[in-house]
Amino acid sequence: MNTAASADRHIENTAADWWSRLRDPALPEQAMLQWSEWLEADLRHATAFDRACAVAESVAVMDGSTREAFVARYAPLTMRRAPPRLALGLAAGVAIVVLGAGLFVALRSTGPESTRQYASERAGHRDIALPDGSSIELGGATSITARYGRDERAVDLEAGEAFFRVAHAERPFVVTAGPLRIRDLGTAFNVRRTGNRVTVAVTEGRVRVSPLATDGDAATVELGAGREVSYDPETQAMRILDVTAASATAWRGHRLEFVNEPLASVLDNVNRYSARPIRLADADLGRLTFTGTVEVDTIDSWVSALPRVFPVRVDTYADRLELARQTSMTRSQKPR
Amino acid sequence: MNAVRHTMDPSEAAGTPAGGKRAAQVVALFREHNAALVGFLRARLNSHADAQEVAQEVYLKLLSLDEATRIDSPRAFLFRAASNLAVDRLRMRNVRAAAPVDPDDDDWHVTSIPEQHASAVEQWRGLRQALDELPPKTSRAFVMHVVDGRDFAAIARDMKLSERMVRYHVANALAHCRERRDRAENPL
Repeated sequence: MNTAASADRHIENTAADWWSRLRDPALPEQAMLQWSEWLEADLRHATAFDRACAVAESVAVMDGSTREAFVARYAPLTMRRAPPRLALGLAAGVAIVVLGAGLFVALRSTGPESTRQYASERAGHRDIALPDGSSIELGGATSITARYGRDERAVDLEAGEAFFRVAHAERPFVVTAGPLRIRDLGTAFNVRRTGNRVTVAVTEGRVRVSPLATDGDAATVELGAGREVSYDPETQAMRILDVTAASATAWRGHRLEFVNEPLASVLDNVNRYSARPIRLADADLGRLTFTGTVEVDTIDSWVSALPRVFPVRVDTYADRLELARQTSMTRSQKPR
Repeated sequence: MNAVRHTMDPSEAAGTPAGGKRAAQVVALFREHNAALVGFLRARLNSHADAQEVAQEVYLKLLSLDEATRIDSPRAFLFRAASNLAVDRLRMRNVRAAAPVDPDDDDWHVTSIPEQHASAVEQWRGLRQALDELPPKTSRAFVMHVVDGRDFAAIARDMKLSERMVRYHVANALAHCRERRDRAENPL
């Protein structure tokens, strides 16, 4: 009986293998012929195959909420596909659902394309749920424009920082951030734009990052989860580093993390949260590089600690904080 | 989806005056390979009812071919035609905004609604138990493909595996779920 049971088991497993192979849309013709030979060779093959199909079919009729629960449990990093109702909502020009506080800047509807602009306030966070099931979380003082066309889901990051969770769909999801173009390959990623300095960190899946200035794929890099690329506008170099998901999106937990970032760029980012903007009295100071964490709730104490690590002093004004070159001379001496 | 299901036997067409060599060829294909054809379509479409419908379309397509058209390998032709028509059918489903599968395809519908609900809840518990017994990669690939409907290429990218490995995981999970279900239905 043991051998009979194991023969049955073998048939059942082969049936499941065939089911999986036949699901491949690129199955070669030769394999289809092998398939029919296998199925027709033995009646038990057909019975076993029917059972495998029945299991897969019963799973496919799962209702939406059960499906979500299964995906969340067994494939948690996966971006879910857009619920079809919402996809239709977009086609019909139904207003995008907006969550959280923020400013709804403008609404234009041009033909099949749907364009929305979103911006967050200084020190504000904002969650945006897009109609295809994707979501964007905006950091402080960040603005984006989302254009959902027939062929592409395009988002322009004008300034600031945003975390994208992209729902898997046929239409590619493309983020333009100044000099960089980021094409999603089914994923979650963070983009920080400080002028033309852009950092893209991938927390799940893969993205393809291309500089707009170069044609073709020569300069394109593909990043997997746990990697980030920084584009330096001065050297036009793309630097790739390892990054943890926690530090890539630390801002979501009210912390800004920087690794070897020019002070000018650090301040631009901190200013997206600071009640009083921090300015540099001397542009050269902006070249100093900073590595560390800034808690956005305690920016003032971070600033007051800067003179301990940098040759700067802090001048406090009613409307701003100013970092000036520290000299060993008197306080009144102007920095060069 | 049509409520009416045809069980067309092409041999009927062979009996008509129009049925010539082509019809005889189609009849032969039907007799020898219908099970493989429907099985192929059943996997592709993940719906038995759709598979039967599309199989009819395949035979009709073959019957409509000019007598002069020479078919070198009728069996290969059969699967090629089925593959193309399956793509059309899947596209049509997408156009319909991925409407849920016709409840007619669901074996549960023969029972009353409360019972249906109870058995559905039971069914998902069984599936969860079965998936919990599998290695995470195996259950993940299966859920991404069969539950979430993602194709092998996308899963391969996501899991950083080859498509072949993804198929392997999906097959293993399917075999395991099938075995669990059989055990539940026929306790020793």
